[in-house]
Amino acid sequence: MCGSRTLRSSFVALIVTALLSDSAGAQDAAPKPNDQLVTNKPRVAAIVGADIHTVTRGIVRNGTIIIRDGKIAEIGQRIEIPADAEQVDARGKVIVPGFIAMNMSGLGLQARGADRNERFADALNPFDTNIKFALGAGITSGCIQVAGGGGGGRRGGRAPEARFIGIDPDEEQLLAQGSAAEWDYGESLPTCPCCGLTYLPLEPIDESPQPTPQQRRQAVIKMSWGSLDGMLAKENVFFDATGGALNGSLAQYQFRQQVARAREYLKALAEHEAAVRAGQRSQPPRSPVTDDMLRLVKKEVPLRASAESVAQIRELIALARELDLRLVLDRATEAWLIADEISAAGVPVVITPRLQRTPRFGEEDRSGSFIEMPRILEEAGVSFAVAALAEAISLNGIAGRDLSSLPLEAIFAVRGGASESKALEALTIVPARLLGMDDRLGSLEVGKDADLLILDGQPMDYRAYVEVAYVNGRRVYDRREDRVLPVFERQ
Amino acid sequence: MNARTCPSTIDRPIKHWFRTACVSILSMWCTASASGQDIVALRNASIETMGPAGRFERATIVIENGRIHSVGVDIPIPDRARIIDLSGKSVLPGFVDPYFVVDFPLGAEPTQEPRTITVRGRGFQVPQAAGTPAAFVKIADVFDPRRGDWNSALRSGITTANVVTRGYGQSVVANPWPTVRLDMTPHLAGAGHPMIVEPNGRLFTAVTNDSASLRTVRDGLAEPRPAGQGGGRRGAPGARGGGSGDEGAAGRPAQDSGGTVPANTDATPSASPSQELWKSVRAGQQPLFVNANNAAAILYVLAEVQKTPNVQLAAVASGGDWYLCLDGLASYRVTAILPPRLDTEPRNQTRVNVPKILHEAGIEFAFSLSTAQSDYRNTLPNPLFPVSILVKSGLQRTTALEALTIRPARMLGIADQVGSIEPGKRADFVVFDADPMDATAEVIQVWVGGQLIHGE
Repeated sequence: MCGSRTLRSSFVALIVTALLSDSAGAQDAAPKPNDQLVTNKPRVAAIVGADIHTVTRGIVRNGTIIIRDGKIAEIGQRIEIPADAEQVDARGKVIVPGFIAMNMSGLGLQARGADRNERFADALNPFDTNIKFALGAGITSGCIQVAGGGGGGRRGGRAPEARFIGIDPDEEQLLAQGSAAEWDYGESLPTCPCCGLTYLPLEPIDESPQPTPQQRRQAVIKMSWGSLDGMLAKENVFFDATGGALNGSLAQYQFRQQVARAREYLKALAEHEAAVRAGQRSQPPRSPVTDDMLRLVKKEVPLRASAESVAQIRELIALARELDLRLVLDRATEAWLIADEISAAGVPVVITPRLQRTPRFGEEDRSGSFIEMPRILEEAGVSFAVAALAEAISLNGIAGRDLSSLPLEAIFAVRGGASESKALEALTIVPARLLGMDDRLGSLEVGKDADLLILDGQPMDYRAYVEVAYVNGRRVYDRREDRVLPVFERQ
Repeated sequence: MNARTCPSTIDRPIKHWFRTACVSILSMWCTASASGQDIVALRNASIETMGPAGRFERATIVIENGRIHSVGVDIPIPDRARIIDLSGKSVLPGFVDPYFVVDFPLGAEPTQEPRTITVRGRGFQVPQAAGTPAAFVKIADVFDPRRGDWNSALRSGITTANVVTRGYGQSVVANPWPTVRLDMTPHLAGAGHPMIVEPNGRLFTAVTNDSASLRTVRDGLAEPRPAGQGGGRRGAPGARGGGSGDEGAAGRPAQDSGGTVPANTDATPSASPSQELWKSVRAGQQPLFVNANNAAAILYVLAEVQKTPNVQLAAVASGGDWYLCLDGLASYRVTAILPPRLDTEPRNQTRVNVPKILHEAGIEFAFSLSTAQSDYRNTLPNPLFPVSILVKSGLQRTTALEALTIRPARMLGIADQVGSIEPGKRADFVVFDADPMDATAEVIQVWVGGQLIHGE
């Protein structure tokens, strides 16, 4: 009784407050409607007439795609176009799913914020100019990497192109802008002192253990230009051990110990929960490892480790089998040499087909890289994704060694003998599976996110341009309007 | 004559005797004009009142006791009035700058930088705890008139400034004053300074897309948790609902009772200045002034503000940033503060008139002449040169002039004092030697509170 009166009286107070404040507001500025909150309302669009490469369900010739509320509502040849749909004529064009980058840094994220172990969700920058370059290359989403919290070195990637640095730029911002180019290349790739571009490693793969690098934080972000809604798609994507973090017996021993401790903890936790359910008093155990490690042991995320040489690949496969972990092999340059073993282990790999490594002395037939490696992997049934030579977009994408050359890697896979469909998969559904997001990304199916590209040519043709890109059903890139890439009519 | 030449020469190293002589003459002149009973009549001027009366040609303003007594074409001029003829000149209300940034020395300011500590002779870098919000600064406590470029502000016609720092705090509303006169004032710092019109100003904060600055906004906009059931019950809306207007509008039952019921004081600690300010921001009694670092920060703040029903947002950003986030902006409760200048489109050099676009999209805006991207210091003595370019390229003249005067005054809640030339308001004017939207128009006089502060 008492409670209900309190409720009612506070309700009256609320109404009075609302009335008073409303009438006060009306004198000054006209109050704006509150319910149209969303900046970019999801619209219904029908893209008509293109050849649709669905990746998982074959090719629909002269088909129609209906986009509703950011998702794909329908795909097919005889589809009624809804009355409220904005119709897009794409006759003669090709539609593919948006490409997914396995390695990105320095775009869409305020590096300063994300570097400090803060929330990814607070550091997004949907107005980063590099997003337009990525979209121009066809990348609609990808796995962004920043160094771990607390002075994570210089691998935070480049600050978003700071053309606008606020009304009162402080010294720190100016410095960040000045050194941005220096941050372009993460990992261990050295940069040329005169031009600032990466040296592409040609020398044989060095198998000596490197110092354990810091674990990087990874998240999947979408290139949703101008909108924060749905930009951060997933956090906690991998357990990161790239850069040789598991090279050498000491590193592997410590890793085993941690996995064992995590297992013990999970067991103790299960016992504790059972005891609580049974009504007994029980002290909850304290976790001896990071949350990342727990996710790995629970198989919620795969172990992502870089393994360039045959020996490293074999070691990691054995380790993952022994510890019962999911594994993704990064930079698996020599994977083609043991494709059958990798296929039998069911481990997916990430490769860069354009990378050229010369064989090691004395192992000329058993090391190095080779342009036909995608074909060999395909024939052995290894699923592979491609990664670009570098993670960031530099010099407005003209250098050809950066993230915007990602589609080119798939095209080189075709040149080396892989099939076009496998090469397209290496840009779309395979990375989606590796990121654990194949329920939303990577192919054109009803119910998936409407992230797609309208191309003016065949997907594996290096001449093809992205005409229009959709992310979450929103038209975020138009080659003719955005003008980050040349605009001309092909003869 | 001496009074006029003095401000320009005082900066240079000059001999002491000359300075003394100059100052003494000045002080005599000052006391003469500052004596309250002075009546001044400005005649034959073109007057943009920025009020309902609109524009007058060859009109007169009568100033009495530092306030506007009357304004119009054929109004009587008192016999003992000092008459100043302004034939061919234009008079505007003094400009109101809604975000005047001054770097006050803040003492031990908590920074975002890692600290270096030494343990057994070895130095270690300790990163600052993630997301530590900036410290709240009450400008009235740190106000120092020796900081800030008041002379340039005055010569640009800024007669009222919402003085803020780069961080987070409570502003003061102040009149810029020439530093040559400040040297003579016996007390230099503190809230009692004559430059300060309103020591308890508005809440302001700088925001960028990182957790620390966003947390300042999020925590401030979040309703404080009810201080226990007792507090909620005591906030009897019945007593308040019927009547007394101001209190009811502020009505936060739990909070109000928190101050009066001793049992609650531990649950809601006595409201700090920042809490009080956030409370009135949440109630919509004053806007939240935000300096957005980039376009993404605008989106973040808009998303936060939209969760609260009453909050009015005044956001500072460059024209380019506003241009980027135009899509759907009109559906938010936001007033834009931007420097008056032509901007370029992102990724190309096409010029865009962002104020015009904002106006056509139905978004209110005010100009801040003092922002870093504004050219006001470079264009002296034509501070409205960039505004006139905007008007030449399509922005409505009245909209542009309002954005310099009455609109920022309304945003700051001081439109009953300044912002237009109407009887009863403070006598702040800027006098131009031609039409103010003529690109070559120069500021020849600036009046603050009925005193001629700049010009002859």
